[in-house]
Amino acid sequence: MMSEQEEVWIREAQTGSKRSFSRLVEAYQRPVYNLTYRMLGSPEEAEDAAQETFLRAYARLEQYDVNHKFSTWLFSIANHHCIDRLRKRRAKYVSIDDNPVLENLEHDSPQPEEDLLNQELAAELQALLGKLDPDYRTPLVLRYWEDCSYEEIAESMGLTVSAVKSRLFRARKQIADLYANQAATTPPLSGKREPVAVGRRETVPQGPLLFWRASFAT
Amino acid sequence: MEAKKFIQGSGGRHRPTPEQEEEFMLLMSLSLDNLADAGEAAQFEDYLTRYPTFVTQWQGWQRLHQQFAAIPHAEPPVGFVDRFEVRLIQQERRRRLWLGVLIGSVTFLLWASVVVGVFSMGTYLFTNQGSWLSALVQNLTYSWVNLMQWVSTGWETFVIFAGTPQAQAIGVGYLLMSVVLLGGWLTVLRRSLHLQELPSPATVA
Repeated sequence: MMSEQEEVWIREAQTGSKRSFSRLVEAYQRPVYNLTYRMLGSPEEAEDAAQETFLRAYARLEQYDVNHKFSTWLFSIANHHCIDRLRKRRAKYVSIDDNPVLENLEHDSPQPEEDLLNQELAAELQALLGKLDPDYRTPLVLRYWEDCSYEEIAESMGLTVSAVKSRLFRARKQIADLYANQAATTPPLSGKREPVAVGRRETVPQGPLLFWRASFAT
Repeated sequence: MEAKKFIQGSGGRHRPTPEQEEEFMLLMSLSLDNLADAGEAAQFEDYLTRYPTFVTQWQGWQRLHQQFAAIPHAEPPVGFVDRFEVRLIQQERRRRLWLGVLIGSVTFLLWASVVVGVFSMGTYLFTNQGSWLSALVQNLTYSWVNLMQWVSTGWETFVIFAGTPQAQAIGVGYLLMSVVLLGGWLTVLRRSLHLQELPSPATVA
């Protein structure tokens, strides 16, 4: 639950204190930004969406019920906002090669192999996450990164707990199918990435995608 | 298709039905979150024992689960809160501006509606009810003139009557009678007061 300090900040913010609300932003910027980033895939858009989430929260702060978790309430606002954004840009499709996370990886500064591998894997998972239906993306993000219970996810998304169970299982199924399809159609990593992925195969704990790619390579 | 086998499972003599596959996947999802109850866990174990294809599938899902759990949080860029504060101030400014515009517009509309209403009513009365209005004004004027006429005539009659010797004699007589009566009353009152001030016979004895 919320700390007493946070409750004080919320009460003060409800009476119009911007300073107290800034403290809340400071406290919750990480989970909210993570959710918007995982939902939208672009750091710039994620920051804009996270800030918009906090602006909306500030405008509706008197509607917040202190008996519920503040984070859950924020996630609910962020989720709706991200889904709105995704609907607006439905026509656009971000392929794995255009994924901003992958683009960010392609810098020249030397990095330890393991870090690079993990980042690459994270980026690939993020890209696959981006291919999921937004309604399936949110429960996965809230479950894996925010460690939310089914009840909290249900509250954030305005669903029943059984609907959350169903969405989580369908989300995992979709991800698994996407993995399988991608591994079946994509050639092994080329250029500078391939030796890293294959070279580390024996020593680094392997994710499914690398496992398949290694299977293709051999 | 090695990859497909990995995630969808392979091997085993018996093939599960699509409904069983669906149920198994739901049970896998619950098991990954450690939320399967005793009955569900038993069913899950039973599926794993019966269909070797499910075992590979379960391993794939577990790896997937571990990979997701291992991805770190995306960190917000430096200066996030500062930029938010700037946006909040801008938003508040915009909100106040809109509120001001709204209040101003409503006030103007109210004022304009009153002005237009009064003007329209006046115009309507003058154009459609002209005869009625003129009759009203005429009646009021006549009434006022009548009243003034009555007052001036009454005053003139009084002045003429007061100028006659009979009226003057009656007036003087009335004045004298009033003085005599007042004098008589004063005397009576003074005597009664004097009697009250005298001591009673019992007190004297």
